[in-house]
Amino acid sequence: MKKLLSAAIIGFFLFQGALLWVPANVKAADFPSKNLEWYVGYSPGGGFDTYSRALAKYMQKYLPKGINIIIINRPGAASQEAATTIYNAEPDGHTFGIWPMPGLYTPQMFFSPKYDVKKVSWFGTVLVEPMVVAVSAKSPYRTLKDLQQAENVRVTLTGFSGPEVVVPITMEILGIKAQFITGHKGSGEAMLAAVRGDGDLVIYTYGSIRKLLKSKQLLPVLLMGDKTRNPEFPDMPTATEAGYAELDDTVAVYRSIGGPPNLPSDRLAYLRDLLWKTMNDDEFKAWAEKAKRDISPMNGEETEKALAKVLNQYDKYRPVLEKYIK
Amino acid sequence: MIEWGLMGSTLMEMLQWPGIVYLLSGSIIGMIFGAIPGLSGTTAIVVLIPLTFGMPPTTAMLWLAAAYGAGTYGGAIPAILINTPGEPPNAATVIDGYPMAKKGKAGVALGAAATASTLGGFIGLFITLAMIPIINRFLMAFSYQEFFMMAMLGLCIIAVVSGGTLLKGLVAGGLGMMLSFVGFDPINSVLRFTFGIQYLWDGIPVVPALFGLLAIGEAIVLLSRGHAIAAEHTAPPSRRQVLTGIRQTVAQWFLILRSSALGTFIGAVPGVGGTVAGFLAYMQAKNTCRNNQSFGKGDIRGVIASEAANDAKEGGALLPTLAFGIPGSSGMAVLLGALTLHGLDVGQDIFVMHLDIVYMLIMAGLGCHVVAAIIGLSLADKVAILTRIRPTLVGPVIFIVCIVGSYALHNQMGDVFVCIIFGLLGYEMRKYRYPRIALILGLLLGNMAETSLRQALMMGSAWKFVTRPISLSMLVLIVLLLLIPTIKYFRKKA
Repeated sequence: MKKLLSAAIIGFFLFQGALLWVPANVKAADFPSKNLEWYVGYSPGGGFDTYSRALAKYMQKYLPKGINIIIINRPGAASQEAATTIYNAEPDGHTFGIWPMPGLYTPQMFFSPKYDVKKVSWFGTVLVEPMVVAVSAKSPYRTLKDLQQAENVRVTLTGFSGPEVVVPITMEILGIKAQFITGHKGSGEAMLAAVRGDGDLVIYTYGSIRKLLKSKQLLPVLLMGDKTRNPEFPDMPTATEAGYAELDDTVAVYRSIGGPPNLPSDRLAYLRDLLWKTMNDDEFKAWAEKAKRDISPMNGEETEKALAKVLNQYDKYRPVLEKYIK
Repeated sequence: MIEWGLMGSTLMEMLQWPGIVYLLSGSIIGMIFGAIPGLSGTTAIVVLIPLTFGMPPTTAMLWLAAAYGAGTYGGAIPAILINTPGEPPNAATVIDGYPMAKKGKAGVALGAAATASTLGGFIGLFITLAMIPIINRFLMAFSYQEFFMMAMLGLCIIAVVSGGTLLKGLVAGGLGMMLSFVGFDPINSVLRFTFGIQYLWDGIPVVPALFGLLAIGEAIVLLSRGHAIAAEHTAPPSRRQVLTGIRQTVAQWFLILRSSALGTFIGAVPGVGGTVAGFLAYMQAKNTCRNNQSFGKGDIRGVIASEAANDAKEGGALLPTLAFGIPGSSGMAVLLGALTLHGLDVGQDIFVMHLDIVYMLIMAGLGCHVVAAIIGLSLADKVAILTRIRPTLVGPVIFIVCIVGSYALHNQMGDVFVCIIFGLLGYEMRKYRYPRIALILGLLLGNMAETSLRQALMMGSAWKFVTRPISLSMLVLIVLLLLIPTIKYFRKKA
């Protein structure tokens, strides 16, 4: 028994000694040493959750055996609770999540949440969604000019948190005199209110507004955040064409993936590369095609730059937002 | 309008191998999820969605719809047995279901619930099929004014029907409404009454509050009183009781028809929420049935109306989901996610390009009700034994189920505290005979009432509340509801 014990002890130290000889670069590859936790600020089944789960599924094959990605849904306060959790996690690269941007920036402009999106370590963006200005088929308006000349355009929306914070900024840039009717539960209800004729105008992401444009219950007016015309609605002008290039740098919804600030640079590089490989993976692309989920992969550096530009615009329009938030 | 040939082949696909396996397993999973407080048919779909990735869309939808549909019946079981609806829409079943259990008639109530659910589900889906061509006009008729009146109507109904005096009902409903104001203001996103606690930003969550008020409150009573749920000297649950439940339910076919139609229409209006459906149906049952003194004290017709409407509403909720991609209920929102995940585009397309999917959803809805009814009825007398077990055994189990259920919702400790605090409140309310369900409904509808009132006023004239026909008729109904008991009271005095 004693012999066995001493053999075990000697063996253990020999093993430890051997580890010392392992070259440093192999050690860096040790990085995901435990399961990766991926936070989602919404309940299962929504868009952010679906993208996260699909990415996690195909990311798995680029990870060492035995390391899993755990999706954790932490809904609350329009993704702010998840953001707070990620931001304040140990910066060792094992905790990160998906961020609805620039929606998470506005609380930061006016309140003091326990996170700062300007310091987040961005890994990349899975989708930049353009947004559409659309009018109700029951409204008297058809073109941008009609809207700009109107005395009072009723805009239906859920509120000024999340992606819809861009609505007042858009109205300001376009010079439309708007009355905001908030309080709808979800974009679906807000759009339905416009379809009913209770509102004249809505601004939502192309993906969510598309169905009602196709059924001609809402009519397209302007495409923002995409410099090329949409093939399904070739008559809809882009913001740049209409002379509002500024809108293209301001209005879009980013589904970005990021972790806490001050990540060690080798780990950040590893995670950026991991996400980039997954977003360009053929199986992932096939899934997106089949699930009819748009993707527009953007790497970490580009995400950082694009978001900085957007956040700058938000700072510029702070006085406009101040009227509606707070 | 209806393509019978395609519908027939969809039915065959469901009943053949392997469709039948998915129908059966989906229904069983759904029932189990529905019966456990804290889980629901919606949770069942969420759990199953990842498993459907590799399946053909029709099979996937069959499985998911079966699980979801069976879940709504499962929710009635704890409502009857332990005074706790599995999901908020089953709340109206509690009013008469639990008193029935107390009288030792849990078997009858369970039999009635299963039968009414099945028939309600069937009727709801048939009305849905018939409504497909007119859904557009139907949706256009409901605006902010109607939403507000609907919320008010729901609150007044509950104050009137939940037992106790009208005044106490209104007090409890009002308290519920006040609690619903906690958190972000729905119009301006200003924080209200959160006392610096981030947990309260999203308001007081309904489900843990419901567990606390109804179940924990009841468990405390059980433990302090010291005898089982069913009163002593009552007949033990038996197969015969269940059969009686079925017979009495079928005899009330006209009540089922009315309740189901009501449920379907309310289900088809997005944003109203299914809970109102059960209560409206209950109210109409109480007001239109003869010998209505026994309502609230264990009348089988209360259970029938609530359960029929509750299952019928899911048929209605399917309509706006498929036609516009605007979900009529939380479960439909998840189902919508599953449809898009499988590359199915809702909107006008689905009725043209994928009619087989629409029919499969409807067939699965029908099929799962049959399966759930068979399982439910054959097990009803066994689960009803719960009402005869010593409270020292049942009480702690109710505590654990509720607390774990509250935590499992969002993995948040705050939800557990809400459950416990409302449990104590529920016990006190019960002691002083304030209807607890009125508080729940206030909490549930307060937000809708506030939002739609303010939206309607933002749109301009307040006169629209009385110039729009649907809104006006609901207003008249509310006034009558509140006046009649008052008039009766003074007449008696005079």
